[in-house]
Amino acid sequence: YNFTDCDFKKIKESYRNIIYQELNNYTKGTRAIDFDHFVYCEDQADCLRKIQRLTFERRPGCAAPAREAFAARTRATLAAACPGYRGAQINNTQTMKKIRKRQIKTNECLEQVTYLKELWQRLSRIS
Amino acid sequence: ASGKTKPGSASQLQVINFNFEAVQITWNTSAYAGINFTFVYKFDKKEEYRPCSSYILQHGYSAGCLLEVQRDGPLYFSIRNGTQPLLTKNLAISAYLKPRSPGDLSFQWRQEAVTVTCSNLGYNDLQYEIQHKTVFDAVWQSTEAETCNVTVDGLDPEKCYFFRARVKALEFAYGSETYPSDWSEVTHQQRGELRDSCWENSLFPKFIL
Repeated sequence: YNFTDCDFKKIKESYRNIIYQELNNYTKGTRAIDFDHFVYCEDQADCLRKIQRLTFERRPGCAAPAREAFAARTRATLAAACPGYRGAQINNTQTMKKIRKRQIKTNECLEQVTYLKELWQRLSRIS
Repeated sequence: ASGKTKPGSASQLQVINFNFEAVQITWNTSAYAGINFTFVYKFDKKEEYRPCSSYILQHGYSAGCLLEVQRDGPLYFSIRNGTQPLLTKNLAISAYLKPRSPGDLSFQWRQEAVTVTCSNLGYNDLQYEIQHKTVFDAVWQSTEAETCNVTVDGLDPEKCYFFRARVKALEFAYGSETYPSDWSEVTHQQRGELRDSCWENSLFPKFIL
């Protein structure tokens, strides 16, 4: 999906009012300097591509944050702000059930979601 | 994957991004007395590392590097003992922003309110804080806004007020490890005009004998 036609003001507002707090709740106390790397994005569309990948794709050591509350919010935000966006399809009832049964937060997941926060912060600064 | 346990790990590092103009990185040398570390850095993954050109010394040994930056972007660096890397890291310099202190404060009085404006820093998601007090107040009072156009009301124009300003980076856009700017110089205002000081007028008003 090409994110260039999204309503970035709407996305920034949704991030600032909802997603940001959800991400903070997940990474409580973890600091950017605790990790040796970070993920950078150049422009708005690049940021959303990387946000989608880090949010919905499985990675070594971190099954998928896709079942977390911030992921559900991210999906709803993109669907509302990006024409024709359907995103990674996860059965909604399955997602809601799984969100109640929180995942074990591996260090890899904390690192991944910390990078996700940095992508959202960057997107906010350039929107 | 995190750098927490390695010697010279992140916890012994301090990063300050001075208004996206210069970045200062300092490391704790006490654990490595007598070693002169070298610092190399780059702004793009594909670039070659380049050596620090402005070291910060402590007791004659390198304890940090001050480097010029141009924009909000990534920084890749490595702190080495000879060719042996002690710490290799990349980070977003925005996460360690310390904005410049607000300049060119101007005051627009209207009855019991004043609107304070100052020059824009040129990047987004900042919080401007204006503080004011009189000589009789022990504590400053704060008013905040997301642009440098802050209206403070409930004032008595006859009184002489101290004003000062500073800028903070908003956490949702920069993270929780930024620094507030230094306070601006204190400005004195009475009856809508600039004053050199508030002390004389307030404590020793002119009595007509």
